[in-house]
Amino acid sequence: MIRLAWKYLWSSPLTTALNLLLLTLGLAAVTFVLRASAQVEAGLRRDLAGIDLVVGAKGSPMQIMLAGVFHLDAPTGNIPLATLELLKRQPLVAQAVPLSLGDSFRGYRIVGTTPDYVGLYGATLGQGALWTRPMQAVLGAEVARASGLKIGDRFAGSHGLAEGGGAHGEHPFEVVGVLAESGSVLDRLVLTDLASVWEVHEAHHAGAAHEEADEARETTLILVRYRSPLAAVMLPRWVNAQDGLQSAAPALETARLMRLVGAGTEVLRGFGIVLLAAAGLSVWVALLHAVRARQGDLAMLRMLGAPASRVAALIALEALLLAGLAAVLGLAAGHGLVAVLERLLAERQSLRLGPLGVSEAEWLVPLLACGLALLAAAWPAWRAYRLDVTSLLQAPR
Amino acid sequence: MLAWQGLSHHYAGAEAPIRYADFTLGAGRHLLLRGASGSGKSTLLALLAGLLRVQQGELSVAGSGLAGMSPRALDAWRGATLGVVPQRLHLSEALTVAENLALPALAAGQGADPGRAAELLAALDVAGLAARRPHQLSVGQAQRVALARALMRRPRLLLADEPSASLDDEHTLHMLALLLDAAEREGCTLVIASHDARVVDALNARQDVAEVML
Repeated sequence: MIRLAWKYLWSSPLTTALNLLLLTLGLAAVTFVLRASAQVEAGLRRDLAGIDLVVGAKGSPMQIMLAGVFHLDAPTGNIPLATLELLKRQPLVAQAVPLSLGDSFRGYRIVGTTPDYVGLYGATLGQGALWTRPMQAVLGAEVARASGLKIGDRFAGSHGLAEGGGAHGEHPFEVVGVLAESGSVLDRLVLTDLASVWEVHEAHHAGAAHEEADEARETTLILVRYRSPLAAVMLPRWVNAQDGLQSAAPALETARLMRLVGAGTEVLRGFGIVLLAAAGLSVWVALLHAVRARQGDLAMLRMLGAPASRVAALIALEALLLAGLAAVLGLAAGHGLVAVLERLLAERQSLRLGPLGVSEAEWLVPLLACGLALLAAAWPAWRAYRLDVTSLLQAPR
Repeated sequence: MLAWQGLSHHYAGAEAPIRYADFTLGAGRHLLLRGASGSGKSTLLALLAGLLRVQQGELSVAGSGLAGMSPRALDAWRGATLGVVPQRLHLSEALTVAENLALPALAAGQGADPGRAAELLAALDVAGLAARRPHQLSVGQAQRVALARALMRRPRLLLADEPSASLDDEHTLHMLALLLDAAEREGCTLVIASHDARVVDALNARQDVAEVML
């Protein structure tokens, strides 16, 4: 039966190819939306790494979250380093990690921080060791791969977070370690001691001789982990009440971000559904035409002893074979599109998608294809089931 | 081999049922069904083929009483007992000759029997056409292939509906010879429905053919 259905399916190759194309495009769009949104969410969740709050200078919480957690936006400004001690003294705070931003290396951000930042992501060293003094740098796996820098090499950062800023050639960093690939934001960062950033910038702004007092020093952002859930209620309010400080809860901001991104995915999903509806209609017309064109063949099958249900099943099987093929091609095309998206994001040093794998929602794609095929085949199959065998076998047509 | 008593069929909306005079066909004989359009010939063929359920009377074909059989049982019976060469041959253009010959087994939910197909094609002098499509066959070759398809499951009753339709004299006689030879070789009863004088004359000349005029 399957072989016969396959033969019948391809007896009109152009119609079948068109239907296959329409179904495949629709299913690919749906696959892309399901997969890309699942992977973006997974990527965002992975980069959140248990960070409960980001504290920065007054400004947009979304901007603070994007700058502090995903390193995608410019920070809102600097905050006094004293804020770090202030936060650490809060009983509701389990951990506070400072991040000093301002420089970059070939588009990759140089982050002045403490080793606790590496611990937040559970990242491990691939080679070398963590920094022990200023102007030592540990490269993320992607930075090391892209730059070709090895342990012992020296490089100069550029002023600003994007490529093209003035170089800090007189203050080179020495590579002392390379992190193993973690799939997190750390892969595309250059980590160094907090003091490195002060050293470079104090020299940049006021000459090498100038050194600021500790109490006048600044950092850019502070990542906070709560000690208790109660902190989620108390701490943001406390931070926002402080002069010049703004808190951003990554979980809330990420949800808001996903809602914003969601509008785009809804459009794409709608487009996929329209394509599928068109494909379903096209399959329906094609099968109806096939039943009409092949009614002699179908009547002959009935004459040869096939029950009406078997003849109807043959029509449904044709639709299911088409749907199965379209589901395979649609899934492959959807995966391919996500891979292209991933490459584009990587080229722009933007957000990384979560790990690959078949997401649970993707099982919907073959189910959707088969459901659509059966829906499109229902009426033609019924026509085949009700075929008037006697008249067809007698009258020449 | 073939018998009906008190057989009649009433179509919904028709004024009166079609009634058939009782008839019995003995073993080893063949049957010619004659009748003009509207005489009930098509209905009797459909009843013999198990395509219509017996509403009234008794109809026995190859030892099976068809009255009371369910549609599903009739389908199974038709596949196992009956071979049909329809007026229009209905060879599937989507399939090769070999694949067309696999259809009877497929219709019955069984595996193909390529050995039987090769044997029949050889017996009907069309060996070597197995890979061709129906449109690549001549009229005579197509008739042989249709006959081979009808014989695939070793039917006990071979039913040919207007086998001479749109054939010239030579092809008509040739087709009749093929049907009679095949029925003899396969040991099955042949039922030919025709109103073609050439067919009637040819069959009336034979001692082993009974005639029912409707």
